[in-house]
Amino acid sequence: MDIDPSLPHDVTNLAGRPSGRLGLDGLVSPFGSLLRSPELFRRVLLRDLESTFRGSVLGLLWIVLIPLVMVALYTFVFGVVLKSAWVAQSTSPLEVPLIYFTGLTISGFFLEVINRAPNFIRQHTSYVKKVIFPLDLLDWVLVGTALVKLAISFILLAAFLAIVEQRLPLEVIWVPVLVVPLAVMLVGVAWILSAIGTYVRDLGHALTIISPVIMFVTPVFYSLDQVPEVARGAYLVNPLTFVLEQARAILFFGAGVDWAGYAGYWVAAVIVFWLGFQFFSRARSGFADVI
Amino acid sequence: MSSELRLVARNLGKRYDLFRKPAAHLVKQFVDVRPAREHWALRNLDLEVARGECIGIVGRNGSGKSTLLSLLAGILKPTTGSVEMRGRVAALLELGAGFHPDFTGRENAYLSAAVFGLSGEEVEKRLPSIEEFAGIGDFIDRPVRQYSSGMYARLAFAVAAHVDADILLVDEILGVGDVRFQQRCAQFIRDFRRRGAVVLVSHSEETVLALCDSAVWLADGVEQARGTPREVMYLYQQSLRRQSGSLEEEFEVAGELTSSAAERWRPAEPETDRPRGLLDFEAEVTPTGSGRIGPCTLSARGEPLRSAKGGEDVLLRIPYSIGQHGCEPIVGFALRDRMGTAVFGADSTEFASGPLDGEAGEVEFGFFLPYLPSGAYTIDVRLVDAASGACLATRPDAVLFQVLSRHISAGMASVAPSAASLVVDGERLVP
Repeated sequence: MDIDPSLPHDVTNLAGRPSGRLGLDGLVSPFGSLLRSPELFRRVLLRDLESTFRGSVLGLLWIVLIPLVMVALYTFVFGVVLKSAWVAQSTSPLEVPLIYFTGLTISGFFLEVINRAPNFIRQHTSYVKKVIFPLDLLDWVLVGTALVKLAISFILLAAFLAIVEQRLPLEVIWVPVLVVPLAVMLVGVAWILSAIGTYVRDLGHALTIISPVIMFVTPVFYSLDQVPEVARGAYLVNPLTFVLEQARAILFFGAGVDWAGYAGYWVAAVIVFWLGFQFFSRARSGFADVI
Repeated sequence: MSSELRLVARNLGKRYDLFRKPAAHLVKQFVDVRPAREHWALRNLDLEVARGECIGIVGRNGSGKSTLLSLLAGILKPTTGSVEMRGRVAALLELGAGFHPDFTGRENAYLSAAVFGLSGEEVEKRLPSIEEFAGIGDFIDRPVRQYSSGMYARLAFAVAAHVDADILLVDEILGVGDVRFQQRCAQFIRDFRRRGAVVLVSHSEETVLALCDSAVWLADGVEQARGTPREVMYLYQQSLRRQSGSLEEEFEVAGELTSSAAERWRPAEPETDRPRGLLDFEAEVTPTGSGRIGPCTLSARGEPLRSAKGGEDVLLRIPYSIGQHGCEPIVGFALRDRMGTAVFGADSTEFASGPLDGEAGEVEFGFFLPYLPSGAYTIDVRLVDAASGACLATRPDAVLFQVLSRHISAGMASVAPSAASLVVDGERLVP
């Protein structure tokens, strides 16, 4: 019998983990659950995606329908009622809705993860208490679900761009490149939020107040150039700012990737990711006690 | 190869710190904080299981059995001690944990199997066998919220039974489902033992006696006894008897028994022309309530009998009162097994030529207790008016006792053969 000592069911791994051990082990293990149980990840991800729409008449069509309706609404409000700065800059008036669409889907991705994370572990109580389950995988699933929705939105975006501009929008391939470090950072953030939220229920409520605030201090409906010089520094702390500004510049205004900024962004993302995992690892041993 | 598989727990203990604010739990993960109150769910337990072994953990509710299993599974973090595990663990702490009601049985089976560490391909291969084991037919493609609790349990167990594991941790799941399902579960655990190790939590003595090689009895998180299932069960039962002797206590010991016995008492069906002999214990009756059956005792050699081996001369004492005049009371009993089947019975007409006189009395039945399979049994007592055929009172679980015996490998009962002969090819070999 060959027994892989790193199997997810190997209990010494879990129960005997010395708390807060750093070093190589800490660097490898954030991906451990994902690499060991790809099938489990896939299944739980599918379940998470489908469970929202299961039983509804339109089913998974909602994943496409929701962003479409949202963009129509925001286009009307910010493109027609309130004239935005982008109307003047863009080559076609039909581009404006797409600019909003880009901003909304990326910030929507961010907010979905932030809002769901605090209650995510609690929603999977039986995975905590009744089965042997690599709980850190749940936050991968959380980000994964949001990423799938984002990907669908961007396929829609590419299709619209092709129609509006009458050409193949090849620059769309840069969007995933920009989103990957954001997703990595979000896994770390999700680990922290879901761990705290498991102990402190207030966090979920607090975030429902905070997320509209995040929405408004993020350059979704306006560009960073419209923000007064003084406040611009604060905007750069917002992890969404860089991704949104870059995505819009690349897709609509013919700019290239700011590689220096991108490298810096990766560094920040990896730090958050790693800290998130350390935090989660230490906090999770008490999950079963409090749920 | 087989020596590699083992489960060793040393000095295992679990303390629950009770804080006033949940946030303190989080802080505790990082720095030491003094809790408002502490509760030790388990203390200083050593446990070792190797391939081919099945250990039973017994004890009352809240004695730390489930905590122990969660610790072994790594779901809870031990406060003291450690768990060392060689091999793959499957924990069946709850049947159908993680099932989503809106998804079909098949979809849930796939996810559940993935939780147990099977790949999609492996599940694909085993699915026909899983379906066969569960025996829920077309329901496999319906959402599990449409399932009966029995179907739910069957599917969940079917998946678990097809998992590659070396060590199986089972928590009190053999009490669900119908008889056939229970028997399949038990058979599965017996088969599993040949290739792996099992730790089984139960408060059904019958399960422990039937499946385990050794047993540990826990009370308030502390080990009370350990040894062969029979020894441990004996001590455990004695303590239960000492603690209260009340009927409720007895029923907690065999919670499944009371429920299965209760299921036998379905609402009365329309009367038929069938002659209603008193001993027709299969017939449904609704007592009029005018009579009363007092607390009954079953004794052997003057001592109350709680645990029998078979072969004892026993005395069943049934006090009764009628509460109305003009009755012709008959007292009878049936001994039922845990599935509610009447094994045998007798009534007072067998030794009294007619109905009993007087308003109140006591009937004593002396009989030879046959060799019965291990398990819990009840004695079901009825008081019937022979004149009207009405049932005056019933006492379905008047006596509850256990048979601890390995006399029987198959069938319902055993006899001690008094004479036997063996003839082969016309030649008498025995005697």
